[in-house]
Amino acid sequence: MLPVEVIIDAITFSNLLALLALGLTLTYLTLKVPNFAHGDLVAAGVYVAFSLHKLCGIHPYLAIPVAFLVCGAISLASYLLVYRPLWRRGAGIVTLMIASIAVEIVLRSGLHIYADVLSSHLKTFTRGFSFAWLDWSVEMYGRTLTFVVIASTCTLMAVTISLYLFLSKTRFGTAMRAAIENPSLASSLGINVDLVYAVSWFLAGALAGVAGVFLPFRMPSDPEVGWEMLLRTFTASILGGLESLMGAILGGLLTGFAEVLGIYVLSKPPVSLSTAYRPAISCALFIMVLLVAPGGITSLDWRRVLRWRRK
Amino acid sequence: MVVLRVKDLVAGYGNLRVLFGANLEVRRREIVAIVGPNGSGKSTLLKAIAGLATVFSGRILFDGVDMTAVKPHERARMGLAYLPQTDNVFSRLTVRENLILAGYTIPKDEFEERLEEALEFLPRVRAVLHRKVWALSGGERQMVAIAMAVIRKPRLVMLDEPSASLAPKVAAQIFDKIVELRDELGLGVVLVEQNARKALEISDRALLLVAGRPVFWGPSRKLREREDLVEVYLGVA
Amino acid sequence: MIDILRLLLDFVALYSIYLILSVSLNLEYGYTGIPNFGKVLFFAGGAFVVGAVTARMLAPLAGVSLADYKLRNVVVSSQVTSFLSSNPLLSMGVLFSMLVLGALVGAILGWIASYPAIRLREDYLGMTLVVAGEIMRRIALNYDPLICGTLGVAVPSPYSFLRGITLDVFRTGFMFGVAMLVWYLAERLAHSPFGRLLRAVRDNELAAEALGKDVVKVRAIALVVGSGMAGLAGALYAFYTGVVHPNDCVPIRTFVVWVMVIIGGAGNNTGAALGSLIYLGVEKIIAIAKYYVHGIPFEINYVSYIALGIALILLLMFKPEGLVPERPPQIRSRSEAGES
Repeated sequence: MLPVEVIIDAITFSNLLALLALGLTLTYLTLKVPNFAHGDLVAAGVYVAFSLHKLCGIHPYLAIPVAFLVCGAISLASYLLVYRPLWRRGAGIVTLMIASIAVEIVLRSGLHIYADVLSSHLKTFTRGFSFAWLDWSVEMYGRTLTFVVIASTCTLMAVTISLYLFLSKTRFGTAMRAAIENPSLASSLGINVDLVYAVSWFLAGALAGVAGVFLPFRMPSDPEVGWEMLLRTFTASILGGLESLMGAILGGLLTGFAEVLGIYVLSKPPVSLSTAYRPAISCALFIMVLLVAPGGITSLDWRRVLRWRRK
Repeated sequence: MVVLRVKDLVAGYGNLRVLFGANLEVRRREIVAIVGPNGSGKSTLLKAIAGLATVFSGRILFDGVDMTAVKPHERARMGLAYLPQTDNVFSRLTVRENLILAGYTIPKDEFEERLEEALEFLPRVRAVLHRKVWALSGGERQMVAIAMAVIRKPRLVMLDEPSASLAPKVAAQIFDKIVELRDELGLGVVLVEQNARKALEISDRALLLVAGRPVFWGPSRKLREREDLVEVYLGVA
Repeated sequence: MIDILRLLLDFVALYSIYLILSVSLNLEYGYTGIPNFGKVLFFAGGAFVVGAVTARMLAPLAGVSLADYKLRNVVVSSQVTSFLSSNPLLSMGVLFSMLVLGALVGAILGWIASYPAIRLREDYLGMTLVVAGEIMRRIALNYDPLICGTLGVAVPSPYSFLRGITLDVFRTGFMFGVAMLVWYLAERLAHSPFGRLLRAVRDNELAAEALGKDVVKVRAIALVVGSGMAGLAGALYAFYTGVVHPNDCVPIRTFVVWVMVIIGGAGNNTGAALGSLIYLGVEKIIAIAKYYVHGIPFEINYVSYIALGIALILLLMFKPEGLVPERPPQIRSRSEAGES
């Protein structure tokens, strides 16, 4: 029915978005501010993988741990240097949003400079590159897949499971959930809420960095790719309900599929929409979610469940 | 024997003064009730003692130690347990997780023992140990909150309107537990209550606050006999 | 000598546009407390409508063919321009009517945006407006009939009845005049009862509502007026640069206006004026420096963006009220006190 390529694209893209939405929701849960700089952490991950490959000949998949650490560090730095100081001075949501836009501009410009410097140093293109040629083909169910589908799906599953275990089975994880729900009660019980926030910000950046490693396998990449992913990430997080981590994963998967499958269907007759409108699908989805269910899908579930219970 | 002493406390929020010169004393094995009409500063008094409101003048002495410079979570570690009216439990977590968090600062080897003691004291909580708190009834929630306080082995427990929005029968159970806090665990208890009749029934001494000022301080028995005050300020509760 | 004059005129022209934008953002955010993160959307509305309509409207009058418009739009535009150059009255008429149209389009967009803007919480609103801007840009890039898609569209010049330096002086003077008018109107608005109402809504929504003020309507009016101003700025900009391209609708434009307002100090128009001046001044200096610095393997622009971002963060941390803090309204005389 649907070409394998489209399904591969959908799965990979959704996995990426799930990782990104997870990070965005994670930081939102701490300071209640949507982090406009989140997309650029993906771009940073892209360039970590690219640099390691070009400079050290390391295959991008092996760059995952490095991207994890580097992007996590960048995100943590932004929390320690910008958001936390502002928050402690009593900055409101609007101020924090403006600050995150400032951070975004700094990060993106920094990446542009890095790309330019790298380009003149390596005498090669540092924009519009792809990792697809580095990937492996895998035979599965009589079809040929590219390995990135498997790698990204496994990564997402591993992240989901470990996050779940961490949050529900460990003491610090439980403390994190408590600090996110009720920071003042948590701190009165002796929980270091600041540490919880710092870990959240680090994790969010780290996950984005990992997503950044996978991205060039399916899309040509440049420093602007972060901003492009940001809007979809907003959609994914809102779709999942901005307050729910599991919802973020779900939202990411749904948004990714909606966009890839949607543009595939719409680009065919009778609509014959240009594929350049692909990002517009996420934007449209964003508006729809706000109009229909601003709390996301996780807020809808309860009503349905209650109706079932009453029956 | 005196766990808490409050002297001439003037307190409020930011620049707003709500409480004008409150005096209070709580001993071990004693329940002190704070009663009065709405908005008379009862909650503010508790918050000030817990370190969550602004103190303009006066002194708060906990076990003889001046608390003015002590941060809220340090007061908690010193043995002062404060149960606010709302948001005193983590709804999205299970009861057991709430108790684990309550015992966050307790050494791990001691924790199981303390947990057991708390559950002995509150068998109702043991029964719902693995349920999520949002799924519990109001009364069970309050029991969980009390368990969270008890597990930290405080010397003083402050409760802000624990029976609010609870059905009378359930409220009665809560009041019974509060009495047990005094009688079985030997704690000092400060109780802010709208239900003045019940509060005066179970407490030893009482403070009547009207518009931020103390109107009566003394044995609860005596306050109950003051029909003039009871009728005017405490309604037909 | 002429070059320096041209530089100055260019600076003042750009300043005029950003002054209008800053004043409009100040009206929305500084006075009314609406965080408009989509300023560029309304600006682009005005610019796009000028780009889309002007040449196409005038071509039949000028006897210019509109065939193959996308590819020939530059030719069409220059032909229309030469037609206009012999017709000063028509030129001015076109200028004025297109400015009004630009403002109108901006205002209509603002009115549409007011539905979510008023009902959404600030964080959702921030995301929504940014998304809306991106949608607009996407459509402009791909829907050719609008402004010729990725090529962008050339705009005929209504100033062409003048020549040389006179044209530049007149054009800049006109733009600056419009900006001054807008600034003046904004000041009048700010010091009027309506201005006080805006601030009341900003500072204490509940109290304003309790006093019977329709908070929703007040906010809508502020947003519509502000967006109208932005649309006007967009139209002016389109006529100034002579080209409209979808990438005029990039989020960084919104950000730049925010920087100006914050540097200058939100909540007063003087701050907006000052902030715009400072930002543009710094940007110009960096651009000039670019000519003298060689051998750097990257675009200097990026450095200026980074510097800007850092400057903004530092400003937010240490002087969030900006250079010209808002002064609480002073009661000057007993009669004024009695009046309010």
